Amino acid sequence: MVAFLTAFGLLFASFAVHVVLWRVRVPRSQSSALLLIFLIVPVTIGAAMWTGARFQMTPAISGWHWVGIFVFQAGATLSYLVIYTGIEEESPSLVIIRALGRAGCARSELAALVTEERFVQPRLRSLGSGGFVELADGGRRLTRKGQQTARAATILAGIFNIRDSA
Amino acid sequence: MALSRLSLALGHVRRQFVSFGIGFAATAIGLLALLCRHRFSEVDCVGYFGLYLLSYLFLGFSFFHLINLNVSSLRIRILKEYLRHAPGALPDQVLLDRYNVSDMLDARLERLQSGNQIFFSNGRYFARSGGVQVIGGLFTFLRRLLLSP
Repeated sequence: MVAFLTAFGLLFASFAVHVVLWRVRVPRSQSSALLLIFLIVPVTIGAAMWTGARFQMTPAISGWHWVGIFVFQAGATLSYLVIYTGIEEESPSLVIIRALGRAGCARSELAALVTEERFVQPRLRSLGSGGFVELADGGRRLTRKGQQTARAATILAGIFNIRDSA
Repeated sequence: MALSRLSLALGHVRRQFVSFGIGFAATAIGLLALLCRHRFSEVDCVGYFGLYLLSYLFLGFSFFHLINLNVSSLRIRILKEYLRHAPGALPDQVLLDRYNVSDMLDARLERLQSGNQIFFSNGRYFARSGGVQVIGGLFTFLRRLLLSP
Protein backbone atom coordinates (compact mmCIF):
# COMPACT_ATOMS: atom_id res chain seq x y z
CA MET A 1 0.00 0.00 0.00
CA VAL A 2 2.98 2.31 0.61
CA ALA A 3 3.84 2.23 -3.11
CA PHE A 4 0.22 2.99 -4.07
CA LEU A 5 -0.04 5.92 -1.65
CA THR A 6 3.39 7.23 -2.65
CA ALA A 7 2.37 7.16 -6.33
CA PHE A 8 -0.78 9.14 -5.59
CA GLY A 9 1.10 11.52 -3.29
CA LEU A 10 3.67 12.27 -6.00
CA LEU A 11 0.90 12.83 -8.55
CA PHE A 12 -0.98 15.13 -6.19
CA ALA A 13 2.21 17.08 -5.39
CA SER A 14 2.93 17.56 -9.12
CA PHE A 15 -0.64 18.73 -9.72
CA ALA A 16 -0.48 21.13 -6.76
CA VAL A 17 2.75 22.70 -8.04
CA HIS A 18 1.17 22.98 -11.50
CA VAL A 19 -1.92 24.78 -10.11
CA VAL A 20 0.15 27.19 -8.00
CA LEU A 21 2.48 28.06 -10.90
CA TRP A 22 -0.45 28.53 -13.30
CA ARG A 23 -2.21 30.82 -10.82
CA VAL A 24 0.95 32.96 -10.67
CA ARG A 25 1.55 33.02 -14.43
CA VAL A 26 0.56 30.71 -17.27
CA PRO A 27 3.77 29.68 -19.10
CA ARG A 28 4.11 30.37 -22.82
CA SER A 29 4.89 26.75 -23.69
CA GLN A 30 2.32 25.09 -21.48
CA SER A 31 2.81 21.43 -22.49
CA SER A 32 6.60 21.59 -22.07
CA ALA A 33 6.21 23.30 -18.70
CA LEU A 34 3.73 20.61 -17.60
CA LEU A 35 6.10 17.84 -18.64
CA LEU A 36 8.92 19.47 -16.67
CA ILE A 37 6.79 19.88 -13.54
CA PHE A 38 5.50 16.30 -13.68
CA LEU A 39 9.08 15.08 -14.09
CA ILE A 40 10.98 17.30 -11.65
CA VAL A 41 8.52 17.17 -8.71
CA PRO A 42 8.25 13.35 -8.43
CA VAL A 43 11.96 12.78 -9.10
CA THR A 44 12.91 15.33 -6.41
CA ILE A 45 10.47 13.99 -3.81
CA GLY A 46 11.29 10.40 -4.79
CA ALA A 47 15.02 11.04 -4.34
CA ALA A 48 14.35 12.65 -0.94
CA MET A 49 12.22 9.66 0.12
CA TRP A 50 14.82 7.17 -1.08
CA THR A 51 17.53 9.01 0.86
CA GLY A 52 15.21 9.28 3.88
CA ALA A 53 14.59 5.52 3.79
CA ARG A 54 18.34 4.87 4.12
CA PHE A 55 18.24 6.71 7.43
CA GLN A 56 14.91 5.09 8.37
CA MET A 57 13.12 8.44 8.21
CA THR A 58 10.68 7.43 5.44
CA PRO A 59 9.18 4.01 4.58
CA ALA A 60 11.44 1.75 2.50
CA ILE A 61 10.24 1.07 -1.05
CA SER A 62 12.05 -1.53 -3.16
CA GLY A 63 13.70 -0.61 -6.47
CA TRP A 64 11.09 -2.52 -8.48
CA HIS A 65 8.26 -0.70 -6.80
CA TRP A 66 9.92 2.63 -7.57
CA VAL A 67 9.90 1.48 -11.21
CA GLY A 68 6.15 0.76 -10.83
CA ILE A 69 5.57 4.17 -9.25
CA PHE A 70 7.35 5.94 -12.12
CA VAL A 71 5.46 3.91 -14.76
CA PHE A 72 2.26 5.02 -13.01
CA GLN A 73 3.56 8.60 -12.95
CA ALA A 74 4.43 8.46 -16.67
CA GLY A 75 0.98 7.12 -17.57
CA ALA A 76 -0.80 9.68 -15.41
CA THR A 77 1.33 12.51 -16.82
CA LEU A 78 0.63 11.49 -20.43
CA SER A 79 -3.08 11.18 -19.65
CA TYR A 80 -3.12 14.62 -18.04
CA LEU A 81 -1.29 16.09 -21.05
CA VAL A 82 -4.06 14.66 -23.26
CA ILE A 83 -6.71 16.18 -20.99
CA TYR A 84 -4.83 19.46 -20.81
CA THR A 85 -5.02 19.99 -24.58
CA GLY A 86 -8.80 20.26 -24.07
CA ILE A 87 -8.26 22.82 -21.30
CA GLU A 88 -5.61 24.87 -23.07
CA GLU A 89 -7.64 25.26 -26.26
CA GLU A 90 -11.37 24.81 -26.39
CA SER A 91 -12.49 21.60 -28.03
CA PRO A 92 -15.49 21.88 -30.40
CA SER A 93 -17.03 18.75 -28.86
CA LEU A 94 -16.81 20.20 -25.35
CA VAL A 95 -18.24 23.54 -26.46
CA ILE A 96 -21.15 21.66 -28.08
CA ILE A 97 -21.79 19.58 -24.94
CA ARG A 98 -21.61 22.65 -22.71
CA ALA A 99 -23.96 24.63 -24.95
CA LEU A 100 -26.60 21.90 -25.06
CA GLY A 101 -27.31 22.19 -21.34
CA ARG A 102 -30.85 21.19 -20.37
CA ALA A 103 -32.73 23.04 -23.11
CA GLY A 104 -30.74 21.62 -26.03
CA CYS A 105 -29.76 23.56 -29.16
CA ALA A 106 -30.75 23.72 -32.82
CA ARG A 107 -27.95 23.22 -35.35
CA SER A 108 -28.04 26.95 -36.22
CA GLU A 109 -27.37 27.86 -32.57
CA LEU A 110 -24.40 25.49 -32.48
CA ALA A 111 -23.13 26.88 -35.81
CA ALA A 112 -22.95 30.33 -34.18
CA LEU A 113 -20.60 28.86 -31.55
CA VAL A 114 -18.37 26.69 -33.74
CA THR A 115 -16.63 29.37 -35.77
CA GLU A 116 -13.34 29.78 -37.61
CA GLU A 117 -12.29 32.57 -35.24
CA ARG A 118 -12.85 30.39 -32.21
CA PHE A 119 -11.40 27.10 -33.38
CA VAL A 120 -9.38 27.25 -36.58
CA GLN A 121 -7.53 30.58 -36.31
CA PRO A 122 -6.11 29.94 -32.79
CA ARG A 123 -4.85 26.55 -33.93
CA LEU A 124 -3.19 28.07 -36.99
CA ARG A 125 -1.47 30.57 -34.70
CA SER A 126 -0.39 27.83 -32.27
CA LEU A 127 0.99 25.70 -35.13
CA GLY A 128 3.03 28.73 -36.18
CA SER A 129 4.30 29.53 -32.68
CA GLY A 130 5.05 25.84 -32.07
CA GLY A 131 7.27 25.74 -35.17
CA PHE A 132 5.08 23.32 -37.15
CA VAL A 133 4.24 25.73 -40.00
CA GLU A 134 5.87 28.87 -41.36
CA LEU A 135 4.69 31.76 -43.52
CA ALA A 136 5.73 31.39 -47.18
CA ASP A 137 4.56 32.50 -50.65
CA GLY A 138 1.34 34.15 -49.50
CA GLY A 139 0.34 31.20 -47.34
CA ARG A 140 1.83 28.75 -44.90
CA ARG A 141 3.85 25.59 -45.36
CA LEU A 142 5.08 22.82 -43.11
CA THR A 143 8.42 23.10 -41.39
CA ARG A 144 10.55 19.99 -41.02
CA LYS A 145 9.02 19.39 -37.57
CA GLY A 146 5.53 19.82 -39.03
CA GLN A 147 6.27 17.35 -41.85
CA GLN A 148 7.54 14.75 -39.40
CA THR A 149 4.45 15.14 -37.21
CA ALA A 150 2.01 14.99 -40.13
CA ARG A 151 3.79 11.93 -41.58
CA ALA A 152 3.79 10.19 -38.20
CA ALA A 153 0.03 10.83 -37.88
CA THR A 154 -0.56 9.47 -41.41
CA ILE A 155 1.47 6.34 -40.68
CA LEU A 156 -0.39 5.80 -37.39
CA ALA A 157 -3.77 6.20 -39.15
CA GLY A 158 -2.65 3.63 -41.73
CA ILE A 159 -1.48 1.11 -39.13
CA PHE A 160 -4.69 1.34 -37.13
CA ASN A 161 -6.97 1.66 -40.16
CA ILE A 162 -8.37 5.04 -39.12
CA ARG A 163 -9.96 7.40 -41.61
CA ASP A 164 -9.85 11.18 -41.25
CA SER A 165 -12.70 13.12 -39.75
CA ALA A 166 -12.91 16.11 -37.46
CA MET B 1 -3.12 -3.80 -34.27
CA ALA B 2 -4.27 -7.19 -35.52
CA LEU B 3 -7.91 -6.30 -34.82
CA SER B 4 -7.59 -3.03 -36.72
CA ARG B 5 -6.37 -4.91 -39.82
CA LEU B 6 -9.36 -7.26 -39.79
CA SER B 7 -12.41 -6.17 -41.73
CA LEU B 8 -14.77 -6.61 -38.82
CA ALA B 9 -18.14 -4.91 -38.70
CA LEU B 10 -16.79 -2.80 -35.83
CA GLY B 11 -15.83 0.86 -36.07
CA HIS B 12 -12.25 1.76 -35.23
CA VAL B 13 -13.20 3.11 -31.80
CA ARG B 14 -15.04 -0.12 -30.89
CA ARG B 15 -12.08 -2.18 -32.13
CA GLN B 16 -9.80 -0.16 -29.89
CA PHE B 17 -12.12 -0.63 -26.93
CA VAL B 18 -12.16 -4.39 -27.57
CA SER B 19 -8.34 -4.45 -27.77
CA PHE B 20 -8.13 -2.33 -24.63
CA GLY B 21 -10.54 -4.68 -22.82
CA ILE B 22 -8.55 -7.76 -23.82
CA GLY B 23 -5.34 -6.10 -22.62
CA PHE B 24 -7.03 -5.03 -19.38
CA ALA B 25 -8.24 -8.57 -18.65
CA ALA B 26 -4.81 -10.04 -19.47
CA THR B 27 -3.09 -7.47 -17.23
CA ALA B 28 -5.50 -8.11 -14.35
CA ILE B 29 -5.09 -11.91 -14.62
CA GLY B 30 -1.30 -11.63 -14.90
CA LEU B 31 -1.17 -9.31 -11.91
CA LEU B 32 -3.34 -11.59 -9.79
CA ALA B 33 -1.17 -14.58 -10.70
CA LEU B 34 2.00 -12.67 -9.78
CA LEU B 35 0.58 -11.33 -6.51
CA CYS B 36 -0.60 -14.81 -5.47
CA ARG B 37 2.96 -16.14 -5.84
CA HIS B 38 4.32 -13.59 -3.35
CA ARG B 39 3.59 -13.37 0.34
CA PHE B 40 2.28 -9.83 0.51
CA SER B 41 -0.30 -8.77 3.07
CA GLU B 42 -3.85 -8.31 1.75
CA VAL B 43 -3.55 -4.54 1.99
CA ASP B 44 -0.30 -4.59 -0.01
CA CYS B 45 -1.88 -6.89 -2.61
CA VAL B 46 -4.73 -4.41 -3.08
CA GLY B 47 -2.22 -1.55 -3.29
CA TYR B 48 -0.01 -3.22 -5.91
CA PHE B 49 -3.01 -4.44 -7.90
CA GLY B 50 -4.45 -0.90 -7.93
CA LEU B 51 -1.12 0.72 -8.79
CA TYR B 52 -0.34 -1.48 -11.79
CA LEU B 53 -3.89 -1.67 -13.08
CA LEU B 54 -4.21 2.12 -12.93
CA SER B 55 -0.88 2.39 -14.75
CA TYR B 56 -2.35 0.21 -17.50
CA LEU B 57 -5.49 2.38 -17.62
CA PHE B 58 -3.49 5.62 -17.86
CA LEU B 59 -1.13 4.27 -20.52
CA GLY B 60 -4.06 2.77 -22.44
CA PHE B 61 -5.95 6.08 -22.29
CA SER B 62 -2.88 7.94 -23.60
CA PHE B 63 -2.32 5.41 -26.38
CA PHE B 64 -6.02 5.54 -27.37
CA HIS B 65 -5.77 9.31 -27.75
CA LEU B 66 -2.47 9.11 -29.59
CA ILE B 67 -3.84 6.82 -32.29
CA ASN B 68 -7.08 8.82 -32.46
CA LEU B 69 -5.36 12.14 -33.02
CA ASN B 70 -6.15 11.69 -36.70
CA VAL B 71 -9.84 11.82 -35.84
CA SER B 72 -10.04 14.10 -32.86
CA SER B 73 -7.27 16.66 -33.27
CA LEU B 74 -7.95 19.73 -35.38
CA ARG B 75 -4.27 20.57 -35.41
CA ILE B 76 -3.28 17.18 -36.82
CA ARG B 77 -5.98 17.45 -39.49
CA ILE B 78 -4.66 20.90 -40.47
CA LEU B 79 -1.07 19.60 -40.56
CA LYS B 80 -2.19 16.79 -42.88
CA GLU B 81 -3.83 19.35 -45.18
CA TYR B 82 -0.48 21.14 -45.42
CA LEU B 83 1.31 17.84 -45.99
CA ARG B 84 -0.87 17.20 -49.07
CA HIS B 85 0.58 20.42 -50.53
CA ALA B 86 4.17 20.00 -49.30
CA PRO B 87 6.69 21.30 -50.16
CA GLY B 88 4.48 24.11 -51.52
CA ALA B 89 2.62 26.67 -49.43
CA LEU B 90 -1.14 26.68 -48.87
CA PRO B 91 -2.97 30.04 -48.68
CA ASP B 92 -5.06 30.44 -45.49
CA GLN B 93 -8.26 30.98 -47.47
CA VAL B 94 -7.83 27.71 -49.39
CA LEU B 95 -7.27 25.86 -46.12
CA LEU B 96 -10.29 27.49 -44.50
CA ASP B 97 -12.50 26.73 -47.53
CA ARG B 98 -11.39 23.12 -47.58
CA TYR B 99 -11.62 22.71 -43.86
CA ASN B 100 -14.76 24.62 -43.13
CA VAL B 101 -16.35 24.79 -39.73
CA SER B 102 -19.77 23.74 -40.99
CA ASP B 103 -18.42 20.32 -42.04
CA MET B 104 -16.50 20.16 -38.78
CA LEU B 105 -19.68 20.79 -36.78
CA ASP B 106 -21.54 18.08 -38.72
CA ALA B 107 -18.70 15.59 -38.17
CA ARG B 108 -18.65 16.33 -34.42
CA LEU B 109 -22.43 16.05 -34.10
CA GLU B 110 -22.38 12.76 -35.97
CA ARG B 111 -19.58 11.44 -33.78
CA LEU B 112 -21.28 12.52 -30.55
CA GLN B 113 -24.54 10.95 -31.70
CA SER B 114 -22.95 7.68 -32.73
CA GLY B 115 -21.11 7.65 -29.39
CA ASN B 116 -24.51 7.98 -27.68
CA GLN B 117 -23.41 11.17 -25.96
CA ILE B 118 -26.08 13.40 -27.50
CA PHE B 119 -29.42 12.81 -29.22
CA PHE B 120 -31.58 14.65 -31.74
CA SER B 121 -35.27 15.29 -31.07
CA ASN B 122 -37.78 17.81 -32.51
CA GLY B 123 -35.11 19.70 -34.41
CA ARG B 124 -32.82 20.12 -31.40
CA TYR B 125 -29.78 18.33 -30.04
CA PHE B 126 -29.71 17.30 -26.38
CA ALA B 127 -26.90 15.96 -24.20
CA ARG B 128 -27.50 12.64 -22.50
CA SER B 129 -27.12 12.95 -18.77
CA GLY B 130 -24.26 11.11 -17.14
CA GLY B 131 -20.65 10.71 -18.17
CA VAL B 132 -20.42 13.31 -20.88
CA GLN B 133 -21.92 16.08 -18.74
CA VAL B 134 -19.61 15.19 -15.86
CA ILE B 135 -16.63 15.43 -18.23
CA GLY B 136 -17.88 18.79 -19.55
CA GLY B 137 -18.22 20.05 -15.96
CA LEU B 138 -14.72 18.82 -15.08
CA PHE B 139 -13.17 20.65 -18.03
CA THR B 140 -15.05 23.85 -17.15
CA PHE B 141 -13.81 23.56 -13.55
CA LEU B 142 -10.18 22.96 -14.63
CA ARG B 143 -10.28 25.87 -17.10
CA ARG B 144 -11.52 28.17 -14.33
CA LEU B 145 -8.99 26.84 -11.83
CA LEU B 146 -5.98 27.10 -14.15
CA LEU B 147 -6.61 29.71 -16.79
CA SER B 148 -9.06 32.30 -15.51
CA PRO B 149 -7.44 35.43 -14.06
